[in-house]
Amino acid sequence: MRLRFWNFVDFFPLAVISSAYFIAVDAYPWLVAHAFGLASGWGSALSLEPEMRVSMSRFILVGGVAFYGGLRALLRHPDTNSAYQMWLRATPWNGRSRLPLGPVELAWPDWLALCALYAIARFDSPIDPTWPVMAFGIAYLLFGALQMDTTRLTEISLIAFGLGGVVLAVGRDELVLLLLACTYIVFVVGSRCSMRAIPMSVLGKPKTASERFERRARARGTKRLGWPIDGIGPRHPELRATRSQAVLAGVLLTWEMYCVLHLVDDADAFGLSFFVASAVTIYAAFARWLIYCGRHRPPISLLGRIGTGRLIIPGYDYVYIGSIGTLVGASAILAVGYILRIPLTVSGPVAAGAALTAALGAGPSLDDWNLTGEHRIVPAGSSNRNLFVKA
Amino acid sequence: MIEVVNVTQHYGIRPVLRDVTLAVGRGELLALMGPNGMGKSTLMGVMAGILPPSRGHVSIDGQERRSSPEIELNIRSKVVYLPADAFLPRMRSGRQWLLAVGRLYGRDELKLMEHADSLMALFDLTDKQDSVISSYSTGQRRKLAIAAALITEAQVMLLDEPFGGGLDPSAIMALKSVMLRLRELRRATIVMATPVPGLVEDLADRIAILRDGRLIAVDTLEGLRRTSGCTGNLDAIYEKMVSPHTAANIDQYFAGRGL
Repeated sequence: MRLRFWNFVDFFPLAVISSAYFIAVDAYPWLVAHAFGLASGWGSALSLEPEMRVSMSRFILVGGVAFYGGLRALLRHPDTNSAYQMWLRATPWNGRSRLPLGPVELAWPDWLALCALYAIARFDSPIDPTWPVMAFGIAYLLFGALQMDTTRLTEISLIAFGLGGVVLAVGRDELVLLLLACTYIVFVVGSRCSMRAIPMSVLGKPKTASERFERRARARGTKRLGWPIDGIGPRHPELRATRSQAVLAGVLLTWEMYCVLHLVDDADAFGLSFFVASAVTIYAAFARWLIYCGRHRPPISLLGRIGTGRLIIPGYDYVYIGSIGTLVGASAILAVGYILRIPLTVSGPVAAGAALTAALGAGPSLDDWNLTGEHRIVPAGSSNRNLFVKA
Repeated sequence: MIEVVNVTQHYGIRPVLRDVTLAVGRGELLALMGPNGMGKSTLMGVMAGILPPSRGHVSIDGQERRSSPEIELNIRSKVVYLPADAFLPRMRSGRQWLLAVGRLYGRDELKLMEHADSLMALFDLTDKQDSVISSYSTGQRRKLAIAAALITEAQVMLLDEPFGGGLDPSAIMALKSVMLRLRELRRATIVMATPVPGLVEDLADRIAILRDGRLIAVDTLEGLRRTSGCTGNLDAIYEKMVSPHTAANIDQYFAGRGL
């Protein structure tokens, strides 16, 4: 009677990354040198040029480890494996009990792999040994947070702030490790609560139209009418955010963008900041306009407005305020920042965050707009012209 | 005890199950039979709780499935469901998987290890027990899936085509014997779906026959003989009740080809 507490698969990423590193950085130059007679004897060999060695180390020990971290967060989560999830739906698993394929949280083979990768970076590579750990931590925590239930907004926000802090603290190894540890603790708490919060009856993706409608009705707190009436009945928009969520999203974007720009050289950071702020602002304003106006067209066309002299239709045009406000507000922040000589690495993120907040949080709400706006409701993608009544 | 009450289920417009009502008593072994595509797996899925019926309900030991999270979890701890294509993790060893499943059902760790070893021996998987499941053959995977269902020691077992999936004759014999013993010793309630009458004739207490989503008969072998007016074995009864035109179709096929 014997029990193996580990599986060789648990060490597969470590084996792949360390093998790739030693082959690319140490063994390959040695083999080339001996094959072409450039070196003789076991100990004598050519090595990669220092710059090449740094690049290879970064690619394998940072890029490869980040990939491993992302996969580690995703692969054991029931949400990412539908067959596993379906199987769990027929078992007594309740979110508190152990997952049969291993925990989503880090287990001892992961810690061992991280220590080994740290040691490789510390003793054999020219890069900062904290980088592999940081790359793993950021990828793992980022993808792990994305798997959390949306009710765990506090933990998701704290993780986002923590990861920004990690990026900002690059170069101060102790602080980086401390921030990663704190963020990981938040992740563990959030992940456990998220698992426990999964109601058994809605675990897993709905397989049938009937089940899908039933869940929507439950989520809305309305009585289920039955298929196919549920499908054509009134439904709440799925894209919606409260004011506080809009503000939180804006603040998070500002923080993350500021932290990432911190990694970029000053010369490039200003241009990049302006570009990202502009792109976010334009995208947010356009997306808002599309969501609000895509299926809700003006009561008369532009030519109709000019012809009738009704240039402004207050009952409809107030929907543009959000999109226009997004563009104007972000531009104003950039302009004020320029006048006050605030660096673009600060004003850019603030403008982008404000644009996102305005696009998500400005009134009217989608519900109000759907029910009270002076618009014509049209099928998605239909031509405007075809829907006008010929007079 | 399993009670299926007025269950109707449809994926699209055509109902797959129509007003099915069925009761399976404690310690009973019921074989669910019917042609392909007639709703056997759907009925098993509804009983297992992975499909919510469009109408009607399923109760296990008097508790209605999906009536509350607590009740549903309680039911799940008593029921094991083996679908025709059971989930198995490719990169875990067979033994690890059995232990993980046993732990999930709250079985005692030490007994679990002994149980896993004996199940591996029962299905002739001892040599493969520490190999990753991706290296198993189709039949070995099916054996492992059956072993994973047995290690739960669940009181209610819902087995969808347990004899399919490339099981060899010794595994079929082992599984039949295990089911009979579990019924006698532990009074386990077993429902198994199978399209092959010959496999269940000497096994099932009662036989339920589904056709076009309706239960056309639920009875013992003797009862089915009386109902159908056929004195032959279950194959003959099944043919008479479900597909009376098969023999004529075969004759017509060869006659049409001049053979």
